Amino acid sequence: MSVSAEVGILAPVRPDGSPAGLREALAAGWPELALYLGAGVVYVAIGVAVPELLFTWIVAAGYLLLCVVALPLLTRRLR
Amino acid sequence: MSWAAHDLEPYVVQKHLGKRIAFVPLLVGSYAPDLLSKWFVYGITLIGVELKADNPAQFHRGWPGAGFTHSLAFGVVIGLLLYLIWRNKVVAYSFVIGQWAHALTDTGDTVGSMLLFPFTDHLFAVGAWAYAGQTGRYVDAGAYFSGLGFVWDGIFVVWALLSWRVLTRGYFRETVAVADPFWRWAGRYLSETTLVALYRASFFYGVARWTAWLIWAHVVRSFAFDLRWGGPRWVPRVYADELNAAPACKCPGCCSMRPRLGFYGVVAVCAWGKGRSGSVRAALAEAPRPRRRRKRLKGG
Repeated sequence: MSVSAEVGILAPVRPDGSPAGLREALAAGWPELALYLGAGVVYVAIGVAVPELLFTWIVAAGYLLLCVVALPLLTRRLR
Repeated sequence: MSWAAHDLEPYVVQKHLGKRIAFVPLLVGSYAPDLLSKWFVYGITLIGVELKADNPAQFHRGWPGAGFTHSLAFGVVIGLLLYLIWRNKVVAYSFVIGQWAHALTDTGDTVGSMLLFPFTDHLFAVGAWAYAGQTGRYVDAGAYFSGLGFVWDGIFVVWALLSWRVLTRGYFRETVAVADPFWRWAGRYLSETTLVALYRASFFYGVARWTAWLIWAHVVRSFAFDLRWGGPRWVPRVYADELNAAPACKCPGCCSMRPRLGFYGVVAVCAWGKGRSGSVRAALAEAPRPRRRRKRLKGG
């Protein structure tokens, strides 16, 4: 799944600048949202198995960057 | 202490203050009171030597100890230092708001925090959930996620989810990045996707670990839920009156009312204030606006 740089998670505004509702925002930003939700589910599963990882913000931030920035970038390059 | 609330409070504050707040100092302020002291409360082993406070609760929240980091004055002092370094008012008061949010949130447990230190070393404690930091981090986690602490964090999880708009890329671009100099600096080296992921990291961390700890405590391990005030009662708790030099505090807060009544009182006052501000806003919206006098331009 490729995530366009312009499609944000829960894209917030309409083209005219007025604020979008949640349903509209979900429709526009679902690919990125799915990426974050997937990363979250895996993080929870790993955290339950190895709770030591749940204590450190750095680990969580690094893991998130890996899942939502590095892996999609690598996937796009390999295609 | 709170586990996920300190991760999520900055997003709730961000939602309400928009461009008037800088997110990174707000987040650092929210983590600041525990940043340098928490490891010593739980203890670590370095090269076979265990480093841990003799009295973890006293060290964490008391005086003598590092409890001054949970005072309102500590936030102001660091905020002033930040102002002297950066000459940026928004950065300074954003840190103060984050640190105050942490200090006030930590009054929820049975130990509380020395909000008015150095004027008094009284520990302001609501006593809603047990302070059990001295038992080590795993038992502490099990206790916190079995008492009212996890409910308190749950309120912040819901509140932060209701603030979903602040997580959007457009909001980050138009509000967060504009108000906070950190993102302008970081934007020279990192892509916007990376910046947005970093901005969302604490939200991700807070919600995910709240979920993970709940599953760990009640599915993997079998800690018993006890949602009574001051619970869970199966864990050895520390109380505010066991710490600091004064055995019995004579301040009006301690003498006049029980902490639970005080907590209900604060909630009632906040609800009343919220309703009043809403009615004031409605009255202002309905009131006829006075016509502005236009300055006449002198013909030239």
